[in-house]
Amino acid sequence: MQTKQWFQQHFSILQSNMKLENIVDGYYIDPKYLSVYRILYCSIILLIVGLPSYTWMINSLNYLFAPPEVSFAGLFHQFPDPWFFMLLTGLNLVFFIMMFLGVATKWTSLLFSITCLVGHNFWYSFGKIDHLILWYIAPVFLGFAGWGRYFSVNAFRVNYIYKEVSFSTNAILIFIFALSIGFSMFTSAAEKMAGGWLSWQGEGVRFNFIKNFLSLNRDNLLTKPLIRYHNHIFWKFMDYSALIMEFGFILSLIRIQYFRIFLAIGVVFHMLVLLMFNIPFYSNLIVYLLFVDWHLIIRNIYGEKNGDNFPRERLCVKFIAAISLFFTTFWVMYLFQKRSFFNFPGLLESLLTGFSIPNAFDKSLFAFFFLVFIFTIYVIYCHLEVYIKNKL
Amino acid sequence: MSKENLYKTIIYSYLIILFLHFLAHRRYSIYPSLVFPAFSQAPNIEKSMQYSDITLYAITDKNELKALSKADFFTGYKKHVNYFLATIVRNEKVRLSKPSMLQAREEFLKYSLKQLEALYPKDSFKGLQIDQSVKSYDTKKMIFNANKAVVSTTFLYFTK
Repeated sequence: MQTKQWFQQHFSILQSNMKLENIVDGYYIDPKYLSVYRILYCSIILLIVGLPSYTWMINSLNYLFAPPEVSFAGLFHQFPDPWFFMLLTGLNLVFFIMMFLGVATKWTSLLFSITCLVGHNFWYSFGKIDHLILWYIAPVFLGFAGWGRYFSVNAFRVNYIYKEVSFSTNAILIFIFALSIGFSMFTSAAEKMAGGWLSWQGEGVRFNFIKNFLSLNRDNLLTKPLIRYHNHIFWKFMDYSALIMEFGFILSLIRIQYFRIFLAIGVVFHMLVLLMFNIPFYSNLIVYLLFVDWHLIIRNIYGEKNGDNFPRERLCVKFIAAISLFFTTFWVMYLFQKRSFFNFPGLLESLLTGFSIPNAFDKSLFAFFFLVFIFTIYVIYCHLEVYIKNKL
Repeated sequence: MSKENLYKTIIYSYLIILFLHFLAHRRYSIYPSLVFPAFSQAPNIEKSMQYSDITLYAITDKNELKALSKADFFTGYKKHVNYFLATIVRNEKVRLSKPSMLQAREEFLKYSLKQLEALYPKDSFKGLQIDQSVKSYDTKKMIFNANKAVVSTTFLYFTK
């Protein structure tokens, strides 16, 4: 009788947990932390990634114009005039600055993403499509989820009333974005399965690893030591673990805690891709940071009391406004430099280039990967600390 | 509408769009897209593996071939160079049936000649050659097999 009651009780808990309402509500992020993420997101672009510049697509390359069949660029027969790309790049910069400062954030975030999408449509009109879309579609979801609520210049406006985003709007938008990440990983796993990664004889990771090394001359970091290693069981382990990781993402969506575990595994996966393939797939790392339990991290950094009162809005706004204005002025100056006309590299890249360090962009991305990896270890430590405290 | 039903409607609609788009992706190239198909091949490479390669040559006035670094030739477009060459090969096959391509082709040839003059100021050139080949690699001994099989050769001659 007791066993039956135990089962009934646990089954009803499971049923309640599996209700879509409870799953989605678990993805709610307090606008305070969403705003922290907005500042972090913009800072990563400013410091590491840089803003995309589309002025390099010139008419003399019209013969190479081969846009994706179903795309906005597919409506054109050749690249538009250079002024179009100058305007697009300039608008993208303006929307970025406004988004960073929190001016009409909903709309500037949307417009920033749209200008990126239009520009990248032409960028990928030479046949190559990078899968870096997640970082520049994120503002579409997050702008409407309320990431412009805090740390915005609105704090200085007299009688300004922010129209709060409802709990369910915030939760569903963030869930949909998480679903987009999970789905992209799922498609990657599905394509691999169709390509024979499940077969015991085929070696997916090793084949692509060697091919990448031979045809693109990518031979840095762990590439050379691993290229000669041919233990079939090791390579099959790599194949299967990549498949489980990519497929598991979409299943883990049922609880944000599980999703976070997969995000941490994802960081390790992308780190391995960087070390072996020398491909810095930075886009996913940027968006993974959104799902960090910022409440826990900020409490850990500032202490329980100060953490809950974080942030002191006006002080933060002044600080952020000063930094973003200073650095975006630096970019505006870049607009008119002959050497790098309409080009907005990350500040770290500019710094490294200034010291004549080759491949400055890749090196600044390596630094970013390293920092995210260290931060992931710190986040895991914070969660474990809480878990152990609760157990005791 | 209850919150549960609202969530259901939004999520199921989004999922349907995503899966339709995934199916469409098998037939068409689509952008923007959340389908990430990279690195999907997994052949048996116990003894050797084959992979496709594309090489660019400049044809000198003396009919000699000069192998070109794709990255140096297409300065500033390093990430796209292999796709550039594949597109040229594809376009060369259909250009006669598409007169609209003529002007773009002329502009590209002018661009190419300018690049060659900058790279090799002392030489003069009459065209470009693109070789698509299949290379073979011994995965046990970790060496290239000496012969590569050229699958197709494409010529582009400059008009002076």
